[in-house]
Amino acid sequence: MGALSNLERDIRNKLNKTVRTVARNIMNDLAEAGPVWGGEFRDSWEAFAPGAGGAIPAAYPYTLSDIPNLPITQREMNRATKFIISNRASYAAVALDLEPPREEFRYPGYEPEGDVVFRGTRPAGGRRGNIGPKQKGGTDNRSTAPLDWYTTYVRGGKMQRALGKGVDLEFRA
Amino acid sequence: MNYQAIRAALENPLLTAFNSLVPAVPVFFDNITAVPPNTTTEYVRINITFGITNEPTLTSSVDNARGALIIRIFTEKGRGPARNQTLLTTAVNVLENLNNTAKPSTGTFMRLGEINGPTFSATDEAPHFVGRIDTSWVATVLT
Repeated sequence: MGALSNLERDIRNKLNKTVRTVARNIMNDLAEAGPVWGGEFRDSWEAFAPGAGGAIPAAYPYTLSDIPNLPITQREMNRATKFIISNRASYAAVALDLEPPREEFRYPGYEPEGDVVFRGTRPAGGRRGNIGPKQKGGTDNRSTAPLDWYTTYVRGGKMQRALGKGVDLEFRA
Repeated sequence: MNYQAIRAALENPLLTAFNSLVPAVPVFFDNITAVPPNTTTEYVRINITFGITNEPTLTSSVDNARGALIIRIFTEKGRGPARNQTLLTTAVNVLENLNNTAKPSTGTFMRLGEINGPTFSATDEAPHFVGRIDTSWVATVLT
């Protein structure tokens, strides 16, 4: 890498901080929008940085120090994918309502930490958030996030809004 | 913002398409739990979610609602994906037609984003093979 001027270095650092801020905001949004029973899923979001070669184990609420620093080399500045945000919980796809549970949910013996948004009976093989009215003789299930909360966040405009807010907060400051 | 008009603009063409099939395929929307558990009867589940209602600008607010549309097709498990994919095609055709509709002067104007999927799943417990697609939508109600 050729020598960078101080201005160039500042701009690159600012850009990286903006991207990290956006990633942090999205992780906090997802943690707040998603289901919370014991808190494991909420505390399992992470931002993997391909350019930095890893992710930092963290828990909600996520801070900027939970997001890896990015190199400011030209190669890394040109990288299209700066972060991959994912959830490391083994049952993440079920919590995201993308897959049905492989086995029936079991009551863990304690009440949910998050607010219950639906209570009733989940049909056999139904998604996590697929809870209808209580059926006679049916199960008594509770959900702490509506069905398809993740798809709604990603596809319904809120993630795009989080991106804009991150840029506003960091780059225009 | 007229949420019901937006919902109807998405639901009605899908309902019409599945009702027009022979035999008609039942469609269930949000807050309807008419599906008996453990049935092997095929059916369609459509969920419409709202993400954002408006887009504030410097001087006013544009009523561009945004959200997601999730379609799940339930067909009998253990008989291959063909029937499920046929029903998915019905849904995708409706969505593509919606995007090809000219902007009306009144009513609801809607555009859909890219269609994700289909993804397929099945579990030991449930009798169904499930195909899933989702897409984003943006809509405004014209006066």
